[in-house]
Amino acid sequence: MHNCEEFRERITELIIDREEVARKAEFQSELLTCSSCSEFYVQSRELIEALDGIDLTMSDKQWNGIEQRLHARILNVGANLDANVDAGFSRSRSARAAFWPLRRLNPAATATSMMQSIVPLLATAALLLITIGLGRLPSPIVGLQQTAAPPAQAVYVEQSVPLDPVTVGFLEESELLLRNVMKMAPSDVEDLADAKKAASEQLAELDQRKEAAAEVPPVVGMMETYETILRDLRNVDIGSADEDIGDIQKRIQQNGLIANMKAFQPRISEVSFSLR
Amino acid sequence: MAISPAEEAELVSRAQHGDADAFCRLATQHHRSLYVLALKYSGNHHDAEDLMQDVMLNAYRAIHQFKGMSSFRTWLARIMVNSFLNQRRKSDPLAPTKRQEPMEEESEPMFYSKNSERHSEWSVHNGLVMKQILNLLASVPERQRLMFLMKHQEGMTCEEIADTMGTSVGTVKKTLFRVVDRLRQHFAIPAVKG
Repeated sequence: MHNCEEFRERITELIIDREEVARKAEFQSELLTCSSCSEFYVQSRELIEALDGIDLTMSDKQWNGIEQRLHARILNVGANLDANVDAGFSRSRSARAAFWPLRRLNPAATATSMMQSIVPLLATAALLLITIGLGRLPSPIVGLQQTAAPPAQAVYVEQSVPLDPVTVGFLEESELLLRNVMKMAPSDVEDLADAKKAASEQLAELDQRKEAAAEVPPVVGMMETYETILRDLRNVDIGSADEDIGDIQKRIQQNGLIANMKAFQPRISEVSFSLR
Repeated sequence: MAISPAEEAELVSRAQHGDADAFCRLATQHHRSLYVLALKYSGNHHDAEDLMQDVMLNAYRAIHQFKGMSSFRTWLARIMVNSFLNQRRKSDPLAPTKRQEPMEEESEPMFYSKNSERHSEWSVHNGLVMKQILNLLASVPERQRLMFLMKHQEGMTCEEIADTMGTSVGTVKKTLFRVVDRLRQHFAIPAVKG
């Protein structure tokens, strides 16, 4: 006895897997006898084919940007974890051991690890003596070449960012504002008014935040880019909002401002998963 | 560049010892497919990047829990499900009205159909189809959408999806049927002019 829902459930997985259901003998008779199921099959197949046709067109530059921002965040989290553990702020040694269980001290191996820790100390002392000795040798007048500075990496955050909580809060607010702008329709007058007001408020505070972040040049650079966005946003004219907002959104996207705002907000959170 | 299972195991081991660079290399192997999935799930680039980053960071924080009982990719899929479904929007006054709407044109991802010129009529036609599909997908409840994308995009079996999402195979099959049925009822290929 043909049951439409049961039959459709059975063939759905095969349709998604791009299998030719109509060519399978066990389904042919039911497809022939039930026009409604046959229609379901044809329409579902068209849908999956259309979905298969989606091709994400992104340039290598865009992919590189995404990858860099991801790596920056991973390195930032790693640095934050290490910094916090080493400073003993929020994680004790046991917490560190829990995070990196393979580093946990094993009492049975204590003697071995003590020996292992003495050897590098001796080696370091020997190297120090050699260095002092070499330092006393007369230096050659010529032939010394300055080692070229390594090229600056295009990584946004390489270590724990020393930002004060107010600046971090400011970055969070900025991120929210930018997200709202990205979602904003130029025709939405209320949203636009809110965004303009928020932009004015942020501009008023921006100089102070730049000063506070002076020791972190990438953050200052990002804030300068953000400042131009804020100014343009504050000055958006209702008459030309369509064009202005489009331009602002494009610049936010091109500069990766939202992701950067997020990258500079240090966050440490415990996560737990029901892993098997 | 793809890495061998042995290389992957080596990178996992190094990452478990706190080597962030090793984890970055692991992340590089998976971030593109994860990003595309997140893009289809969220409908816009910014949320997709956030989602992808959250998954990777959660994986990095939990890497010591990876025992190698499954592949790294399978393990990552579980974290992805948790991250996607547990994602909470920050307090955002515009969120209730804006975020639930299907993707807006301004923040629409750049999708084009394969084998077509960008500016051709077909491209426009296919662009409409893509937009329609992504809007339809956005209307599907999150958990169901995720199950569907894991099947369609990642090619996971119903058993794997059930295992990853902590549900039964029957539920996964029923869900897939419901999603496809819902999508196909609202899906219509626009006519090409001329």
